[in-house]
Formats: sequence, C-alpha cells, structure tokens
Amino acid sequence: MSIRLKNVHADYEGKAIFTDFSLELPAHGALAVLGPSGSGKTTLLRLLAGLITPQKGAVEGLVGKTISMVFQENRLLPWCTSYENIALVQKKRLACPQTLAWLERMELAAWRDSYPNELSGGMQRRVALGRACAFGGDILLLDEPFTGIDEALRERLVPHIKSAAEIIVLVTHDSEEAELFKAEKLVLDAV
Amino acid sequence: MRIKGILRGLGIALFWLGTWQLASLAIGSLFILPSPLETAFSLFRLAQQGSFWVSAFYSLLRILAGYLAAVLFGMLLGLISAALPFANALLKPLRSIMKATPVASIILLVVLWIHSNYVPTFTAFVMVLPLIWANVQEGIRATDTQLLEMAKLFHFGKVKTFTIVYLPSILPNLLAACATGLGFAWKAGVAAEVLAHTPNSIGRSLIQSKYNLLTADMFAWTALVIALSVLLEHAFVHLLGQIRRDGRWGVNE
Repeated sequence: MSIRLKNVHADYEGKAIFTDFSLELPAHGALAVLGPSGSGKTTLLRLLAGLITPQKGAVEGLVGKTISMVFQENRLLPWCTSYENIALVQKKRLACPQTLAWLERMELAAWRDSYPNELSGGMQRRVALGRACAFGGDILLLDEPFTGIDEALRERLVPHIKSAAEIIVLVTHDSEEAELFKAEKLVLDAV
Repeated sequence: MRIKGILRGLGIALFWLGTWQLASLAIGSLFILPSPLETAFSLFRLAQQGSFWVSAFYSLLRILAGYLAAVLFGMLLGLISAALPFANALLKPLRSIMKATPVASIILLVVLWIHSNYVPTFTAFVMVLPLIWANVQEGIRATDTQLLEMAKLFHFGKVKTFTIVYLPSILPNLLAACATGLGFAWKAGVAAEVLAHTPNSIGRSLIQSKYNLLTADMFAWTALVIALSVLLEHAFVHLLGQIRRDGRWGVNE
C-alpha cells in the first residue's frame, strides 16, 4: 500500500498549515519538499513520522513501516560519544560493525570517541545523519540534512544516505540537493 | 605549585587558630572559650576511650542510614510525582510540610513516637527527602523534549529512554541535591541525638559535656562533628568524580 496523506488538516502553534492537503509518496526513491519558510515542510515530515496527528484527514500506509529521521536540530545525546549516539538506535548485536561502518561512511571514524560538544556543527550533523541511516527502516525523513556540510562532502555522502532506505523524503531550501538525490520535487506555497 | 598551595592552606589555618587562641586568652575562662590547645588535649584524651569511637561509629551509621533511605525514597517519589499528576497533587502538601517544619519540631515530635535510637535516622530522612524529591521531579520535568521525541522515533522503549535520556538529565540536579542533603542530614542528625539523648552518640556526649560544664570536651566533640562532616564531603566529592567518569548509566550496554 502506498503512503499518502489524505485530506489532511494540520496546525502548527495555532496556525493552519495544511487545509485539505493530499499527497502520495513515491513507492521508491526520493521526494524533495521545497518551499519558503513557514510553508509546512517540517510539519509534513512530522506528520509522516507520526510525531503529530492531523486534526482532520489521515496519513495512510504507514502501518508496519519503520521510519527514521534527521530532525531540523541534531538532537544528539550530549553525554554520548559519536559512536554511542549511533549505536544506541540499533539492535545490540548489530551495533558494533554497523556503527563503525556508518561512522566510516559519514567520514567520522577518527571522531568516534568524541562528544557532540567536541565536534563542529557539520560533524554533529553527520552524526545525526549516521544515526538516522544506521536505524534504517522503510522511510528516511531528512529535514535540511546538509546544514553546515560543504558541497564536496555532501556529494560523497548522498550515495550512502540513498542506500539506507527505500523511500526518502527530503526537506530543503536548495534545489541542488534535490538533484543530488534525483528526487521528485514538491514545492509548498507559503501559508 | 602544590607545595605553595599547602603552605597557603597552613598559613590560613594558623591565622584562624591564632585568632581563636587570642580570643581565648582575652576571655580567660576555660568554661566559656577553651583554647585550641585545650581542645586538642580534650580530643586526644577522648580519642583514647573506646566509647568515643563507638559514639562516632553509631552516629555515622544512624545518620547515613537516614540519608541513604531519603535518597532512595526521594528518587522514587520524584519519579512518581513527575509521571503521575494525580500523585503529585496528592503528595505535594506532604512535601511542603516536611520542607517547612523546623527541624527542632520534627525531633521533639519524633521523640514521642519512636525509640531515641532511631530519632537521628528519621530526622535525617525527613530533612533530606523533600530536597531529593523536588530535585528529581524538576530534573525530569526539565528533560529536553526534543531528545524525548528522538527517543520515541528511534524506538528506545521505556527502560532505555529512562536510563539513556532521563537519568543523565536528572543527574546534575540529583547530585547537587545529594551534596546539599549530606550536610543537612549530618547537622540535623547530631541535633536529633542531642535532643533525643540517643545512646552511644556524638550528640549525647555533647550534651553530657555541657551538663558537666566540660566546655573543652564540647569543643572536642564539635571538632569531631566537623571532621566527620569534612570527611563525608570529601568521600562524596570522590564518588561524584567516579560517577562522572564511569557512571553514564546504560550508555555502554
């Protein structure tokens, strides 16, 4: 069953963001959600992640699906190292090799024992990306995932991120990022 | 650098001991203000008696038992109050009463209810409990909601969310409360021993010295109270460092 939002009404801090909004996600590949600030890009991700429920309408097709996400903020545990932040989202027996592999892919192997406050903003972002990718799942939701990451590194990271989930929904201000993912584009209008 | 620090500490100690000696000489009465030397002699004499160490041991045991029970129950009540609004509403008046009641009232009431052996334990418990309880509750309330949302999304489950997100979040509040509570427990516990005439206790020895007008002995017992307090504080700081180094609960599971 495809994943879709059906006639959704959703508010954010009392302001109507979506009114009778419908959308069907592609069965495979990436969807890039573009649009100005306040157009509901993050709200859309939060609806798909099940972190908020619509006032009206429904989000269908998510039953039994595993969802992973890179939030707009890094949301790393400050008392855990890079390694621990990634390992904690995995099943215990898989933690070691997979965590190391994702640290390698995010080019963070040398910082595996560093705490978030010892890392630059871009490095912290890569730990958050590594964590979401290591968790894997059916759908990967990315909210401006490349904040603080330079263009060359971004290009090296994209193939690994694409391999982490079947469906990727990417929120971005930058249409070049959408190109990197070869994503279908959805442009939201300002509310 | 270290020697310089030690010399500086010695200098400060000598300054205050000298001030005490001068004040004692000026007053000129052993019954009102014994000198540091007279106090030291009393302490040395008392330390040669077995009862001195028995009193110190039982005082420590009773007060620490109350303190540890308060830490455990305080954590439990903090968790319950944070998780269940109804329980919080129900229990909050109890905490407010415990916090506001003067320690002397608690001791004098408790003396009527339980054997004097347990009065210091109970007093230490009642003094520390609301402090730990309030701090744990506040620590949980202040836990970063973004981290909790992250834990939910990545299916941490209740136990993992508690050990990995909540516990490290409440740790600074809890440790600060434990450190403050230790001083509270010790002072209130000795006061309880004094008022309850607890057998084999520092407090009882203190009041007996007063009845016998042995002011130098009172100073010696007080010096013991201070020394044990400093010792406990150092032990706690050492433990704290250990927890900070190794005690990142559950992270290395």
